[in-house]
Amino acid sequence: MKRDEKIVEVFELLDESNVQYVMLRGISNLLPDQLNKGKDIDILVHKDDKLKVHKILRKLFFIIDPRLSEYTYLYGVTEFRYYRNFLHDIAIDICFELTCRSLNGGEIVPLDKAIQSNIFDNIIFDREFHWKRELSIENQMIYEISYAILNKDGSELALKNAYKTNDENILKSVEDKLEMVFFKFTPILMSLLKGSKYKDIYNSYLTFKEY
Amino acid sequence: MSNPGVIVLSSLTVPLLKKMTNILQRKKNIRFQIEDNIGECIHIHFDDLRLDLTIEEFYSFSSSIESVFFNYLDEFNPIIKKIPPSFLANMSKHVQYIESINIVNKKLSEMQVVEYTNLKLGLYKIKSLKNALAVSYLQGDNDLFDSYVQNGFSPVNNRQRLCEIADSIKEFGYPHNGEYIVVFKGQNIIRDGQHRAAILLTSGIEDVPVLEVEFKKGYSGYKINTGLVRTVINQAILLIYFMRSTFGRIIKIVRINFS
Repeated sequence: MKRDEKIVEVFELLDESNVQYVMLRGISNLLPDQLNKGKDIDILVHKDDKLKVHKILRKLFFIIDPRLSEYTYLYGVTEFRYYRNFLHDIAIDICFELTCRSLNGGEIVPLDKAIQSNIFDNIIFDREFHWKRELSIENQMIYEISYAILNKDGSELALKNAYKTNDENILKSVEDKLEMVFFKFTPILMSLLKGSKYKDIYNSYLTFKEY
Repeated sequence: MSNPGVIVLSSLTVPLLKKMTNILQRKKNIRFQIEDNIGECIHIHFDDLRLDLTIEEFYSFSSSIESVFFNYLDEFNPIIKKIPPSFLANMSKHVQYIESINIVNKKLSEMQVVEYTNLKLGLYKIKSLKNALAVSYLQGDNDLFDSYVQNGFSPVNNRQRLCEIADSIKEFGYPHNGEYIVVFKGQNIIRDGQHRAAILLTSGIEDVPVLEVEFKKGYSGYKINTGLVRTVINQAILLIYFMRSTFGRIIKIVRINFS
């Protein structure tokens, strides 16, 4: 069986078992055959389906690589799982809630509960392709903006990719929820994003003093 | 609501005076930590107590503390004021043993530096300044300097940090604002100002004035152990750590997947 066929099999089985999951950071656009070897498939799985996913992946000859257990997880974040299938060179990185890394020591911290609460109620789903399950545009923006700033040190490219729409209603809602991550810096962040000043965001954040 | 944008500005474990321990009827050490919660507030943790301050309040508070502290130093030992404030906290446990502080000329080529080989385990090695990573970087070899892990949070990477200091020396010269490279008398090891020393050395400057702190006779707590035994122990700890993490991982893989 080829690598892309194995990837399809994984997602077929997840769907058959009614596992609640979404792909993260645009990875679904690369599946099943455009994913570079060595690149992880990042998935968010509902906490209640942790065991179900484990059984499916074990059946497909994935093993758990314990490298992610070396991270420090704060505020009750469920530890990530990193599954690998060496035969087909597939790595699946599973988290069970939306998180980002703390600036201080890179600890894994959860995004606010209000952000997590409706993740699986509002997903974008393409019935034709099992792996085409993504967060709503609003949730993608919230997660990817936080990720770009906190996990990627404000990567210009990651921020550009995270800014997905100019729809005012969505932007308002994104801003409201980003306040739970960036607090009083949020209006400045939104203004820099709207002005495509991605390069200035990280430094503005670290030097922000209006609080 | 947890703020992921937290930067620890300062952290100390403070031993309580015996009298206070008795009064408070509790542990002997207390945690003192200042955190910047970006966009939200400054937290000052003092054991179980937490103060939430705005930036303005924090500046005002720290300014008052600074003023009280320097007034106290006038009474206690005014020469301590010569130590750069940014380094004073690092050497706080030695302050009471200071005998004198003088500005002396030193040859940079004879100076040594401390470089961490494993920050997590607190392992370090003593090297000649000439072989320091910052000097190697300035001479064109940059791979190791890029990956060197600095102690504490820095908003800029190692290269940017070094470039900023180089720009400052170019503009204002050395020393600037009375802030010298610091050494402790008896050991030619740079305690503060390693980047400045690297820049001056690679600029072809040989003799520089440094701040030399001399401690009272009989006090040796400031000394860094440079002996062979320490080097051997360090290597042994690293080897054990490496073997433990490698075998630990293998055991973990087997346990998680096949038990």
